[in-house]
Formats: sequence, C-alpha cells, structure tokens
Amino acid sequence: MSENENIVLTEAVFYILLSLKEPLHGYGIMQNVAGLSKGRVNLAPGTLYGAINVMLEKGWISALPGEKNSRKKEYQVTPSGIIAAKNELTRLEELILNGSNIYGEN
Amino acid sequence: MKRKIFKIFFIFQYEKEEKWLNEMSAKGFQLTDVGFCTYTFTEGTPGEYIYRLELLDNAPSSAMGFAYISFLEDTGAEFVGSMNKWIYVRREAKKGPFNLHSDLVSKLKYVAKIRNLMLCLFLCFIPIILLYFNNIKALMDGASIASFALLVLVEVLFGVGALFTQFKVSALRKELLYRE
Repeated sequence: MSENENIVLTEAVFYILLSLKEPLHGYGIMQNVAGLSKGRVNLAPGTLYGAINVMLEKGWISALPGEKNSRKKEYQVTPSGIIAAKNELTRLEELILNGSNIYGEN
Repeated sequence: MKRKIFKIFFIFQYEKEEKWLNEMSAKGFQLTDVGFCTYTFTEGTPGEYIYRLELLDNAPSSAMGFAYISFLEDTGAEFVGSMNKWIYVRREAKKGPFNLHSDLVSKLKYVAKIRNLMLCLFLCFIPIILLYFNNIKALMDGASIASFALLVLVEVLFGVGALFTQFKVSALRKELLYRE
C-alpha cells in the first residue's frame, strides 16, 4: 500500500485510468483523453497499447469479456486502479497547492 | 498505376526509411506492399496517407502480433504489409496526425529494442568472423578474401548501427531526466 503512495504516474496512465471509469475501447480512450485535455494529450496507439498492457499486469484495469472475435476489446478500471488514480490525485493536489503558493497569481 | 522500387535501408535506418515513405506519399505515391528491399507504390492523391513502420516483438502472424495490429486498425490505421517482424501501417492524413509513440518512455523502449538487436547481431558475428578467418587462412584465394571482406563489412554495419542507436538512447535518457 505504501508503495502505491510514493509513485508518480505518467500523464498517459493517469488519463487512461480516468477514461476507464466506464468501459471503453482503445480508440475511445484516445478520443476521451484528447477531449479531457482539450487536444493537448494525443495518445499514440503504440504508447497506449504499452500502457494498457502494463496496467493489465498491475491489475489496475481489466479487459472485459467482449463479443467473440472482439477486435474492439473494452477495458475498465479496477478497484485498485481507482486507488492508484486517487493517490495520484492527492499528489497532484500537493503540487498545485505548493505551486500556487510560490508562483501563483495572488 | 503501380511502381516497384528496390531500395536498401539497414535495420537502424528505420527513421530514414519512414521519412522516405512519407516523401513518396507527398509526391502521390502511396505504399501498398513491401518485400525484401522492394517497395510497391500505387499512384494516388499526394499526401493522402501518413506512413509509420515498427519492429514488433512478435511475428505479425502470431497471436500477440495480430492483437497489436488489430488494435492499430481499431484506431483508424491500415495495415500495409510486413517484412519479418517489421510492420508498415498507414492512416489517412485527413484523420489527423499519426504517430505510434507519443511519450518519451515508449519511444525509449522502442529505440532500445533496436539497439539491443544491433548489439546482439554484432556480438553474434564475432565468433562467426573468427571461425571463418580460421577456415580460410590456408586458402586465401580471391573468392575467400572477397567473402570475408563482405562479412567484415556487414559486421561494421552492425557496429555502426549499435552506436547510432545507442546515441539516440542516451539522448532520450537525458531528456527523461527533466521531463516525461
């Protein structure tokens, strides 16, 4: 558990975790992340594929038993994936708090 | 109208190869098939497609390879062809920018894979060269010397490739020191 609190997720992984609150397939994730980030983050398929596989290994997301011959395989976040995202959120809040105090417009 | 072009790109020249394919596309020649050092182009609209190539970890026909290609196709890309574990894909330019790797980590992983391949080939060829030299020491005729020279040339290319890709790996690692 403490291991989870001390890691820094990549932007791609964090946004994928957010995107998979509801089931979504690969291309859907790409579009969702581009939308959330207003076009700033464009996940490339190779990058997305690698991230998905790592997250599957870590048990943060699971592949849903789709239709047979499911080319449009869907994924969804798992409880431990939600925890990882929430831990990251806490970390980001700390950064924003400190950043605003020192360089913020006050 | 189809056109077949014979061109040699060494393993570590994959970026140059990709650049060339996109230059051809800009001229109106869209790649539609690949073979060993042969590229088949079909005349079409200039700049219609963006081309990318990648070395897979598994053969395109394997389960994992097929899964990855299917995934790429789901994101709007088309499979053009393959050569061993190298795949060639394209996506319509009108669908937007097309890249296979968007962050440094996945780029580094990929370049390191190519570097490891070059290094592996370089090291494996050392005993082959020594063995060959040992066997032809007695002969030393034209054919033996010529083929030995070719072997050494290939080895030098592997070495150059390993160094070239190692520089790229170091550059990416340096970038990663301050950003993702």
